Amino acid sequence: MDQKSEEAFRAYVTARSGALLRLAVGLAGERAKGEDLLQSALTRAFVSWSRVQKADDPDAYVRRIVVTTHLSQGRRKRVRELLSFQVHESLGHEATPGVDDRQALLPALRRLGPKQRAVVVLRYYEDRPDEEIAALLGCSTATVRSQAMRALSHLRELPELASYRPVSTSWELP
Amino acid sequence: MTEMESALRDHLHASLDPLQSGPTTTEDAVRAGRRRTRVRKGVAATMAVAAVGLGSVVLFTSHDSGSRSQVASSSLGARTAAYARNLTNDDVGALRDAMTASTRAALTAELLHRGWAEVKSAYGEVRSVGAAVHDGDSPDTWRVPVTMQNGTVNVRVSYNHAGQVIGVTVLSAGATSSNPLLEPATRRLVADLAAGRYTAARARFDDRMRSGLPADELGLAWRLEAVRRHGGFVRIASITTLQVKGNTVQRALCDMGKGQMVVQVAYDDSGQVTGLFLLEP
Repeated sequence: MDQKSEEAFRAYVTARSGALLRLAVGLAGERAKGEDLLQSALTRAFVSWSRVQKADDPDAYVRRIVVTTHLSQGRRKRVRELLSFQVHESLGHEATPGVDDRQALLPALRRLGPKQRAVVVLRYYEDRPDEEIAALLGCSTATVRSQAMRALSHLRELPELASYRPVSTSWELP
Repeated sequence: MTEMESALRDHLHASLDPLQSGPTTTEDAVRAGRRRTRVRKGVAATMAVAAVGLGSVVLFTSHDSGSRSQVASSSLGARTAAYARNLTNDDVGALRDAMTASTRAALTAELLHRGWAEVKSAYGEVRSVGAAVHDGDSPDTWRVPVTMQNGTVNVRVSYNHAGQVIGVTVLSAGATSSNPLLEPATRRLVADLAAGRYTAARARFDDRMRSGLPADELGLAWRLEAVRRHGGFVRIASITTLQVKGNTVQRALCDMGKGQMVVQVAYDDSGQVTGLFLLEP
């Protein structure tokens, strides 16, 4: 990469790294993993920067790299965490104070599959239309909708969202 | 949009909007990108971080998802040798700078210094630092033998696809458990899982584990993640004990029908199980 392109890359990352980090943390479900995801995605973006610059919407191109990196990491994931509380807390993760701990949503998102998590974040955080999400994820809009519905049904178990559960009605015979 | 969807949107914004990227993001991205352009193919690795004293692992271990290294092998070897030399001089700055964010968060400078101090207390002063060689089991991992007054330890460093450090291990061959009280508990827990006694396996779970991991879910996870993937349980090959900031973590390396896997169990001070993992070895 020549110096001019590298400067353009630096300028882009400086301007957009905050928004990209928020997307990456939403996809990864936690701050540290989100930072790693963003780092991997930006490395890919650096390598293919000439293509990024030529794209109609370079920012959309990089966000697509973030999402596809997230999905490919999900496919490669080989370690199954069953449950852990104290050990993770004691490892001293340098999460932003108060943010990760205050919100139960990010841990809940980690219970979703990578694709469902991507749909949730793109649909409800980035407010992307289903057509755009489908194009990003390489699937149909029907799949986006069904993944969103499944994700919502999982997340309904979250205490903070429990009051929004649909009320079930029952009838008793006299 | 339903009320549920609105609430979800609000929660997402409340969780994510306050996040700001760190000042190093741009330079890290440029550095990793430059490294990536020099690169070649490597192979997958899992991460392990540990230090060894008196024949037993005493520091820490962790895992990361495997990814392929595309950094030139010779450069990784040279870097590993430099990190090992730095570590023997109690300098962990460059090593931590090269770590991924999550590895850096888990492996504080204090933890590394303390681990190396324990190695020195067990093995004595450093006599010489050898050349880096590929680790046979994990091709993205390089190790450097360090000859010390009372024996030799290996400093192993694992890298991800961008050449970032995802693990540091200091160990000697034949590390064994140093906790005679918890080792039988770990053996019993694994035996219960292997025999399908999932309720019994939860006997030492603390309240949070007990409420979060019912017996049927534990059984399902064991069958899917252990048995289906690795085959039936054969025996425990070894158990190592690690101290992670006051918690005792035992790693039982299990021989399974189709290979090996690790059952990692975390205990609190009272010996109750506070974490359970099924991991790749």
